[in-house]
Amino acid sequence: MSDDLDYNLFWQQLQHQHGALYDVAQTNCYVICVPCTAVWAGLPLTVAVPKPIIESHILKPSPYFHGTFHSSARGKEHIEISIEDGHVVVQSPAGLDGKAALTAANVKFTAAQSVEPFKAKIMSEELFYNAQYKQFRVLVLQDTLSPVEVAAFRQQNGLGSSASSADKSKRMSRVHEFINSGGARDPLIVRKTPAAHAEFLEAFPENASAIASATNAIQAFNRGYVLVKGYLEHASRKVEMLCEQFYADLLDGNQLFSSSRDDSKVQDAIRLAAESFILDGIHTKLFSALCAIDEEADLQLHHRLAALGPLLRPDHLGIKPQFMCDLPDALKELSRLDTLRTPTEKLWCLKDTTQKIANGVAEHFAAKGRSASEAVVTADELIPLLARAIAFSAPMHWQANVEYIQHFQFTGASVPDLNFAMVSCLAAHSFLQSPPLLKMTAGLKATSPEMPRLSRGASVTAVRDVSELWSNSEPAGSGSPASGRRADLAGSSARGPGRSLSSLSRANSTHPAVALPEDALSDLLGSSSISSSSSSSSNYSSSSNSGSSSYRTYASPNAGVAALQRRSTLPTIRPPDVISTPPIARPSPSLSMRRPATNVLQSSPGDGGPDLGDFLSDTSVSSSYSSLGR
Amino acid sequence: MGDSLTFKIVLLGEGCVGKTSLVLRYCENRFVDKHISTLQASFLTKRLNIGGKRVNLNIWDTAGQERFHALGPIYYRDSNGAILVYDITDEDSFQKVKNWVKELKKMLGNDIALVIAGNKSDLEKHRTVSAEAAEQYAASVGARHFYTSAKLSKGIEELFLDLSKRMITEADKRGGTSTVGRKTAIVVDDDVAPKAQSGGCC
Repeated sequence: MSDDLDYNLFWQQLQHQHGALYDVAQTNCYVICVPCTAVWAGLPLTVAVPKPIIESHILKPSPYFHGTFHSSARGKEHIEISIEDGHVVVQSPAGLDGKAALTAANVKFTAAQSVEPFKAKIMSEELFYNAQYKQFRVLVLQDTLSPVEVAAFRQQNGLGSSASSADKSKRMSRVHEFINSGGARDPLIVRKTPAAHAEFLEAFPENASAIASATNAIQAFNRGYVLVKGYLEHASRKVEMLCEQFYADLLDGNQLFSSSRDDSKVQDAIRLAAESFILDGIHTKLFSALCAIDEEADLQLHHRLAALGPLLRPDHLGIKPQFMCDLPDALKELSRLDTLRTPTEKLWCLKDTTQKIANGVAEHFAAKGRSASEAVVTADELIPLLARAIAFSAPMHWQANVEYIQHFQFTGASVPDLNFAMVSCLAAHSFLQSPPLLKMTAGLKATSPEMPRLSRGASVTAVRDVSELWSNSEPAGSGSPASGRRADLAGSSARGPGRSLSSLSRANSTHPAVALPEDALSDLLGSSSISSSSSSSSNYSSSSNSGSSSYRTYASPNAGVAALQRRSTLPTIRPPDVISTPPIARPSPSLSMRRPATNVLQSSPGDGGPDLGDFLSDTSVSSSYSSLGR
Repeated sequence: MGDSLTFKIVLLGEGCVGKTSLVLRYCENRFVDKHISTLQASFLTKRLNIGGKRVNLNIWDTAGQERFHALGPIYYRDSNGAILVYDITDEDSFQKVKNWVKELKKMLGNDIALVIAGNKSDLEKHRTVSAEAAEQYAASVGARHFYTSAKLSKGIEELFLDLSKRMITEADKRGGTSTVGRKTAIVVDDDVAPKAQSGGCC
């Protein structure tokens, strides 16, 4: 659907001001033609549309000829109308207004035009059922069937009798221009950068006070707020309050904004802009802290994925041969994730990644000369292709990004397709950790001819190094049967347990094909036997086993990491840990698996940050994956 | 704006039973020039208007391969409705539907409206799942059963209309909200300033 009836003046007027006409139309299953929203651009939804215009667009079937219709408007019943080839065709060159009306409006026809019927393109059709569940048609048209009447109506309304209304209309049109320039139906998914949102808000001088207050709040947050591990919900509420306060201030200070309280599209756009402004302002502080919280988990995950990527073959992931193709655009998009500043932008990045996978597949099919209808990316294709993209891109801050999106995204979280993209990425990520996949990928060679190596990601050297780490991080005397085999792997037995992750930085070197024992690689990628206490496990696992179906329990994305932490000789992190905000960067060669350096950061007085009482009383921390679709 | 409801529908069934074709057929817009190949078929939307109510259907396709079965809960969480699709020429696919029903009942209880679709009804002469058994089973689990053919575009609109009507009824029982199963943490915080009027959808 390319036009939203909820924001269409004609439709709203038909529903609310001309209800009797609508009732007759639906009871009799007439065809209702709705000129698209663009036809009414600049006119508020409350302007009364004249009844003749409404009637002109309600088409009754001809009692004489099948497939022919007549307008309900008085005086226009004689004009034949048909629906042909994606158009509503009026057998009159001037539409339903008649040639006389056009002449009166100084519209002149050429000889060719005067014999051509008037056509309005059908943009879309919605399914409608009346109270008796009988279908009737509602067609959204690119144009009106009464061009002269609508032009006169536009001139009479909203577009300028007095200077003040002209100014208001112009300023309001700036709001609508901002909303609609994304080309999206839903204002929540308008693609805007934080800079564009800020520019929009700053375009209204009366927003200055609200912006100044928001800027102060951002500075106070950055100066003194303390993000405590395990208390993300508190931070989430705090940031949401900042956004809500900014939004409220904007409405208080801007009459134009407050006068459109009933227009949810405008209000959502303002709310989104406010959220974007705040999140952009606190991004460095907040995201750095999240990265610090998840540093160990993310680092392990990155190296595990970097090692796994080159080893994967299409059959491991269940990618059908015809869908196997390079997806450079999707990989490039996914690699942007860390660089984006607001959760909404990141959510869009995930959505774009899934879309670019679909586009890449379509291009691949086209290049092979195959029918485009075969290139439909269903969930059976999307999950493995997405899993492959995630493995190859080996994101540095996956967990931090997931938490950032889930806890600090307030306006767009309920947008269904963004939510679906997020869930698909989590599903693909979970699939990469699934025991069946780990089993399949065990013992394979890295130089698969079927799976093109991408420049990014680690080599087999890294696999060996990580496996060494796993074997060496086994606490002395734990004595699992696998530990001996792991210790033997690639001659690593001579290395001591205190070895840091610094060896992983050699991941960029290449190595000839190396076969790994099954259990070694499984352990490397995350043991399936681990019962993770990670917050992420709850929504990923399905342990039920009903009937003949073999439901399996997947290790959570952090299961391997949790196990590593348990096995590690590093000190245990004791809550509440207060996280410093180191700069976000890829690991340097000297990166070690140190825990975050600080346990407590001081909160500046009066900065609005939480106090310890808040932390201790806050027990509402939810699963990191349960906040989807909040 | 207006009386609008949004429902999440999850599409479940074994691979190759035609569930994607079924939903593509339902959601296709013949007036849009953009070809479906450039769109993902795993998430589709459809707008309906039933008895004056605006209904937005968000249809989540799921992977049918057994290897992805364990990912099901991620997808069907918070669903208002489920369409369980089997192939009338494939007895195994019907058994898979039964397994999905058990799982959904176990995980979501009766919060979810179920519809069972016997797809590929154009292949009647190759039928292996008896009509009587399928309809009896559907009735026994409180689901409606429909025969559909994505190929011939038969039975699909009826299926979605019935499911939508049942989801509307459920939403009305809940006081007009389409939200199910959301876990909401109630936080008492004296310092929290009064929030501005919330907007947005759902």
